[in-house]
Amino acid sequence: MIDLPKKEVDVLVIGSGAAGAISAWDSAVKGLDVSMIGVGTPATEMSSGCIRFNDDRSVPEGLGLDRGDLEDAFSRAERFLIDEMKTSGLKMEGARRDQGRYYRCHGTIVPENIVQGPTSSGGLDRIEGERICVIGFEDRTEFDHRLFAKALAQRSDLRVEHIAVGTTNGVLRNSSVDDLLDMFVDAAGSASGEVVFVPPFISLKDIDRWEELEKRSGRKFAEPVMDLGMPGARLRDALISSASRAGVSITNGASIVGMSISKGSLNEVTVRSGHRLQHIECGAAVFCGGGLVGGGLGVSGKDVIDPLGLFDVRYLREGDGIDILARASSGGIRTGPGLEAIVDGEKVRNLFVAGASLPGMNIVEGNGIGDAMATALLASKAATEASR
Amino acid sequence: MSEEDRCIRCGSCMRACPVVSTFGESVFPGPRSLAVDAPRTGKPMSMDELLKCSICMMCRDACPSRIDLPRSILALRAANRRGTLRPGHKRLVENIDSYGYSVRPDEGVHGPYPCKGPTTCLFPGCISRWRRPEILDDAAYVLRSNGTEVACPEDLVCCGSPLEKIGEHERRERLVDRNFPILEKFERVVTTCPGCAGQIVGYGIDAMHIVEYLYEVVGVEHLVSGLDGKGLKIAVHMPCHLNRDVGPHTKEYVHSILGAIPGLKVVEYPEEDRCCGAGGSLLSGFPEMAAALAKGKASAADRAGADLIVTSCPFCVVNLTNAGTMRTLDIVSLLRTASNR
Repeated sequence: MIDLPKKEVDVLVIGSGAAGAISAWDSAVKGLDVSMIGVGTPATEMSSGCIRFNDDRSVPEGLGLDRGDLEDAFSRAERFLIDEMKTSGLKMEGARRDQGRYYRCHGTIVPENIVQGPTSSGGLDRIEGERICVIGFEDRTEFDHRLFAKALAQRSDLRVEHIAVGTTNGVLRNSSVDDLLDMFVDAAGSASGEVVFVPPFISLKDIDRWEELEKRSGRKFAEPVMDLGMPGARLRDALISSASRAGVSITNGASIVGMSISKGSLNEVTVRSGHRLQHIECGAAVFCGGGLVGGGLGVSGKDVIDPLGLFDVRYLREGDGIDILARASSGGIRTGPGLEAIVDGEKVRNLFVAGASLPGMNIVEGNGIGDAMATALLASKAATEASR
Repeated sequence: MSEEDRCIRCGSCMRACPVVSTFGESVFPGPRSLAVDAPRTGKPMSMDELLKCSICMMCRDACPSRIDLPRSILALRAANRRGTLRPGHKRLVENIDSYGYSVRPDEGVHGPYPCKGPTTCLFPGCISRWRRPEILDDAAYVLRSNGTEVACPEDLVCCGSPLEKIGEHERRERLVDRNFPILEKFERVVTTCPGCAGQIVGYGIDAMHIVEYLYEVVGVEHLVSGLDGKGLKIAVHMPCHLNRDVGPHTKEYVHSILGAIPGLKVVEYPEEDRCCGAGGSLLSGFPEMAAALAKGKASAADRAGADLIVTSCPFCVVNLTNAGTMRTLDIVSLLRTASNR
């Protein structure tokens, strides 16, 4: 294939999770021309949307990062979460516990997140009716029917009520699926809704029971199925829209296939977009491709590797290979001291690594997204300087 | 380690799947169940289950382990196909055997530009040749008015994409053998259909989708000079095979072109990249499912306040038009409309 037209950018950010997004945002607000490419679902999107900043700085300090710089980066990342996420429509609230600061996002459920029902209905757009009833258990908080009702009521074309079924934990423990079915039929009888959402106790594949429910009560039944990673997905959307507002050019679904490095300097990154290749000349690049979970790193034999097999790697925990996964999960791309990548034993002056790709920062090791974001701000600062 | 063994069971593919999120797992088991779990556990799958995938490739792009789930599903279809095709797929095969096209040629429509001379070929494709001939016409118009004369040889047949989707590889090869000698004589092949572009690249010919050609060869500035968007508010539908097979650079191209047309407003909505339901043989196999997906897409565009949907694929135009709620135009038709003051 013919190559795509060559592109020139000041900073290329590889990876579009939390680290990539904040890094790209930071360089872009400083006035640089920034491109960000990413592929796959980053760990940020699979997360619970809760961001932890560890009090213990030993892992990032172990990468050779200056304590003062780190403190500055941590507080800037926390400010970013509060201010920028608010502009992106996400309210983050911080709280201190367990040797860290935790930020959670609020109000993340929107009607579109309630994705499916079992039989005749399916997808909120296919709900046949305007009056909805959500049934829940009074004393079971794991299914919050009021929250679901509130989320559904955001749609102005729906009228939503909620009903609590009186029960105790004991009743649920001793109830068979058919007992629950009777309870739902009774409760639906007192509801005015045409479509009744019930707690997730009947398998979505158990078509016979769903049909029985509908037959006995004369109403449509559905189960509000929510994506597990939904708060994480909303967090990621907000991060991406912050980067986009700052002027970052974002390409999803493209991946790096090569880097041209000579004399300790990165000149060009080759990117695959569909059937075609593009050469991107960049002043500096930041690799935020993620760790083992986000797919930025992989395991080959006993070793952690990056997708290009290009970078040198380092392990924080040495081992004889019995505990391969533990060893691999403490591993990452070797840098520094600082965040400059090491390739073939040599520092590359304008290629930086941040986030879960760094040794000890892997999500498996549990160092938290906050620490990943702080290192990303240090990487973007270095990249911004190196690209000038 | 096989590719499927890299699965970390994160569920990203299942969440990304438009068929699962619209119909539920009781209707369609989803990419992971089909491409990873079933082969691993030896659980038999019916061809119907396999054929409900629209090959939109959203799962492939969502997978953190970079498993090519749609490719696995296509391989399973090919391995599983004996006598189990849907009626719509049987018709498709019969049409290709009789006419060389996946649809039955309409007698009112004639092959448009069987001219010799131009070094650029506009590949007609089944849908824009016979079902939506105005798209082919508009494409030729836009190319010609921007300095590119095109040939559209009469003897070209179906690109083979629909056969690949139902596992009919030998038949597909026969079509390749008919198209290849014609296409290889041209300096450049341009298609209106992203599916055709991807297939012809698979022949080893550097085909370009028309959006790529307009952006890279004609140039946005030249293309939009003198155009008038007439105050229209449009929602973009990115065709799956353009965005994820031809490549995501085309998304930037589409937005650059549309954003540069004076008087045209592009409305944002979160479903822009979501499948309309036409692809992967879903429209021919399960038309009611394809219609439901299209309807969801059209109502999302409607909610965003758009007057019409603009896409870059004749097949998406057909399916979104079938939904009946939003006017849908191919980008070449919009460009032609915008050039008539």
